[in-house]
Amino acid sequence: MANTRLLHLDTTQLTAYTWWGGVVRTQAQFPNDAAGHAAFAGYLQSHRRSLFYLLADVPEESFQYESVPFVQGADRKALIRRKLTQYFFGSPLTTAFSLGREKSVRRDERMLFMALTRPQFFEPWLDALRTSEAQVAGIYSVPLIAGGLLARLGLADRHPRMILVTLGRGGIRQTYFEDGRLRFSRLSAAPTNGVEETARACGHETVKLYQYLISQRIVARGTRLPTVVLVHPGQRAVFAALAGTSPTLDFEFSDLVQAARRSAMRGLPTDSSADALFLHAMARHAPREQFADEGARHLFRVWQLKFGMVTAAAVVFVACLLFAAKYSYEIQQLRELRDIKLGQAKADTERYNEILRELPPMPTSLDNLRAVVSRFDAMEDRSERPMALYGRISRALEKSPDVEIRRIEWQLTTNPEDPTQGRGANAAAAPGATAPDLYATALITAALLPGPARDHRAVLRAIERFADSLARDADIAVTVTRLPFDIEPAKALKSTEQSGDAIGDTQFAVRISHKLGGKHDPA
Amino acid sequence: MIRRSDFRYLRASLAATIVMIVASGLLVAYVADWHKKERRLTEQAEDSHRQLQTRLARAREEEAEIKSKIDQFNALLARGVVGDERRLDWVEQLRNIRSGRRLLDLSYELSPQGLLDPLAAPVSSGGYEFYASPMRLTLPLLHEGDLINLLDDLEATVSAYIRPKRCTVERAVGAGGTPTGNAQLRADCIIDWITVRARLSAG
Repeated sequence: MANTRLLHLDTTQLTAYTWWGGVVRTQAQFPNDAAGHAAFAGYLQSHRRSLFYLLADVPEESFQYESVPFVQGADRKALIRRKLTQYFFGSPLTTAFSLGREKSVRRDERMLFMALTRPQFFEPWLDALRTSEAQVAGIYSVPLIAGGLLARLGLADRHPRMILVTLGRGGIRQTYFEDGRLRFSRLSAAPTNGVEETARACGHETVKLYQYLISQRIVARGTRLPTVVLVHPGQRAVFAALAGTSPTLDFEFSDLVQAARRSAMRGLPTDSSADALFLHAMARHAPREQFADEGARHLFRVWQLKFGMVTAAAVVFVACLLFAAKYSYEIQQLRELRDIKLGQAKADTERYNEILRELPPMPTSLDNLRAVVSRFDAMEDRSERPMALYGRISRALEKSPDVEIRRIEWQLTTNPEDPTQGRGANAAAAPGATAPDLYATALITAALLPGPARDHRAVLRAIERFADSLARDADIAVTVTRLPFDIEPAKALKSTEQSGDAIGDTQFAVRISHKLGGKHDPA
Repeated sequence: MIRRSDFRYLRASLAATIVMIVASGLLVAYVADWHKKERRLTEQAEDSHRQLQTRLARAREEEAEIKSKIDQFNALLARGVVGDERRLDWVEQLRNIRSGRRLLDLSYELSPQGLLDPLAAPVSSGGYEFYASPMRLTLPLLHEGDLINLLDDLEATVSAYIRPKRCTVERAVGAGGTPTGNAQLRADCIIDWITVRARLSAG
């Protein structure tokens, strides 16, 4: 960041100051002669990297007020340039600013055109600045700075129209403001023989200004104008006593030190000179309007570009550093998380190995173990002893004591309806086919025991009773496959050799079956 | 407006700007790449840990199951179901049962060994194979209890898994319809004698 150096130029000399942290410090003084100019050039050479603000406090100023049509952009620039040339032909140190728009129907813009009307006075100083390639931020005048100061001190709100009187090396500055905006300013020479004379001169000079304002019809005749005089509190009483009274001016003596404090100035004034205050205000709140042309400020613009580039790059770099810091923090957290996970994985592996170690010795691989046992369980599911069905037949016989079993053909088959057609245990399954269900079947060949003569119905009832007893269990399928006689219409039905309709041969066949499986069903 | 002659004032700042921008870019690229690598490594560690946790949880669940299966397999091994066929032992055992149970008679025919029909156990057995040797048993019975006892004794004593496939029991009558000798019944059964053996590796 470049150092800020403030240059105060009055009619007798140029004073150079440094400005840092709200403190204005005198560095050097250069008299307004050839030696002073040369010394100034040498000073500039020693501080080429600094930014220079020039505050002019000279009497040769001009203020021209005019209402112009309101335009914007290039038209506005052209209008202002034309007016400045028109009013101040020959002076390169000009500026203009808006005093607002009129309330008339046209709403023209009220403009104040200003100039430092003795350019030859500034030339040696400006030449030194040009030659040393100094970075000139701007050329200002005390009235330009005073406008901003007025607002910050709150004086504009209290007094819509007022005169501000300040003292400095250049003399007694009287500045007239309307609605807080600069309208006119005047610099009078200050007496050199003490505070009392200065106080009296303040009163006289301000009255002269008032008379000028009346003559120019800037102020209506008879208007009482508040007049604020900025003085050191130690000299207030003197000024109050000696500034005099006026029927048209209401003098008010304001505390210069307090004003400096309110402007965030450190290094407070020790007398009634407001130069340091104006220099501080210029450095801190330089107004947009100033007198240097773009040629004089070119190197300042280059500095702004340099500063902007480097600042932007620095901001980007700092942002990247912050980004890198954030990501570095996240990386650290990721590493910590990874360490935790690796530790947990190690512990889990240990626990897993411990489980394996605690298992009994494996007679074969785990996969083979599972496969063999699963297949054995499946085989047991599809196996059954004949005794299971024999038991059911036995229970049925208890309820049908007149039935005599002659033959039981038990087998495992896939077709319980016709085991001779089914795939028995020897039939190989087609590769890839889903295995069909397996059934245990028993074909029971039986007959009714000899007893009282039975007719066809009695025989049928006995057989059905036996079949019903077999069918008591819900999972057993029972089919009577052969009766002692056929009662189908297509078949013959004849009596026996015995008397009446008694049936001799009562042999019949019943088939029972049930599906195997479920012993090793998963829970 | 910036002129060509102004570049001598801008050189150092331009260089500093370029250096900072490039450094910023390199810094961001480096850190982003590093972050990506670390994140990938951490994700790998998390995946690995998740898999280990799943394996551990499964191992805990399967521990009881594996122990049970080991016990079952060892029981089959001890019974002789897993292992080579011991045909001589089987016939000796049949003889012992016949004399122990005082069976009237017992004849058998043990067919050559073959692979167990997949219908009997339609699942794979991994590196082991199930073999079946069908046996035809015919015997006269005083009562059906003789057959039941025979099958129970075979199940309890022989080094194989006994799986009846077909059994016909009928009254033992002669030409005149009267029982022959002491036998009331006659049994004719086909029984698979099943053993399990490791598959022979090819070649």
